[in-house]
Amino acid sequence: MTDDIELEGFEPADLDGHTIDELSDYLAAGRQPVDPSIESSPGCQIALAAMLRLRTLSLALLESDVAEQPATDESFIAGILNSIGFEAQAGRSIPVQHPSAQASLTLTEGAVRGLIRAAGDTVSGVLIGRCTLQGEVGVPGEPISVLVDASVFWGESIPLAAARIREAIYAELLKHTELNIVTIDVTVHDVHLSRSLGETSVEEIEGEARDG
Amino acid sequence: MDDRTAVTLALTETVRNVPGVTEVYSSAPVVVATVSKVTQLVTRGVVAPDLVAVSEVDGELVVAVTIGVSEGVPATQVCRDVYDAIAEQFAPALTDPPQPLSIAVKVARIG
Repeated sequence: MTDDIELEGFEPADLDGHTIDELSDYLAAGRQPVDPSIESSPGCQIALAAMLRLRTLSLALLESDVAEQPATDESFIAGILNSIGFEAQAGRSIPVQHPSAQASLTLTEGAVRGLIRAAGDTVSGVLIGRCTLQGEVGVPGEPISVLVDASVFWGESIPLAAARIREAIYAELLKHTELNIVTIDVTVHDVHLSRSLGETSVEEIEGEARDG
Repeated sequence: MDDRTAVTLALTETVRNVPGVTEVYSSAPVVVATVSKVTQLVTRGVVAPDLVAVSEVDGELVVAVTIGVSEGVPATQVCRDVYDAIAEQFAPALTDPPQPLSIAVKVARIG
């Protein structure tokens, strides 16, 4: 799937000894033969789940505008895969409060970033590019900002899409973490043409724009 | 089966039974854990269930577990429940003589 795409920034040990390219090949092979080092790695599991969602979400793009602009969109998809790999790494430890002094309870930053991406992926008509937690996540109560890069499909209202992404992410963070989220900034970088959004073709949309 | 393996097995089972826990990951780095399992297979024909790490550091018993949790239950709650389940299991054994205990629970995947 990504054989011809350069994935920058990955070293073999980034995902418990695996690269995003290896995970992509593993996924393409139907996860056979079973690789215990992948299946027992939480980072690899987060990345594989995100890659599966990306495959589904980007299908419309691959069937339409990628055919017209292959270089641009291969690069775009590669960028998302790159982000998935980085985000799936364990990263910093995020504390969970407990009254006992014997307890050391934490969420990995990778788990929370995976949660954020999964929440964003539930919003229709958008592709999540990159998710970042900004702030001292290791210190309880510190103000934390969530930064999300996204792209929307043609025809989607960008402000509404951003609002839906923000709501979905906030709900999940509120449910699963004790982070003091002060902002969720959604930046929309791209608009993709897609025939799957309604029945309007690219040519028809362009025609309507000219006629209008 | 030695005592440590028996303890690890029992703890792993305890953690697995906590509602919301979907996976118990090895607390050792995956590459090390995998090599260790391969070595055990070759040398003894047995794969040790070394998912929950139990060690003793300066007289303190240290338990470390890494888990995946379901989307349906708040991860923070599952984390606390796992701690409580482990603490409850150890409590009777650590009273005579009293021994300090530290329990680290890490959620590495949600959903």
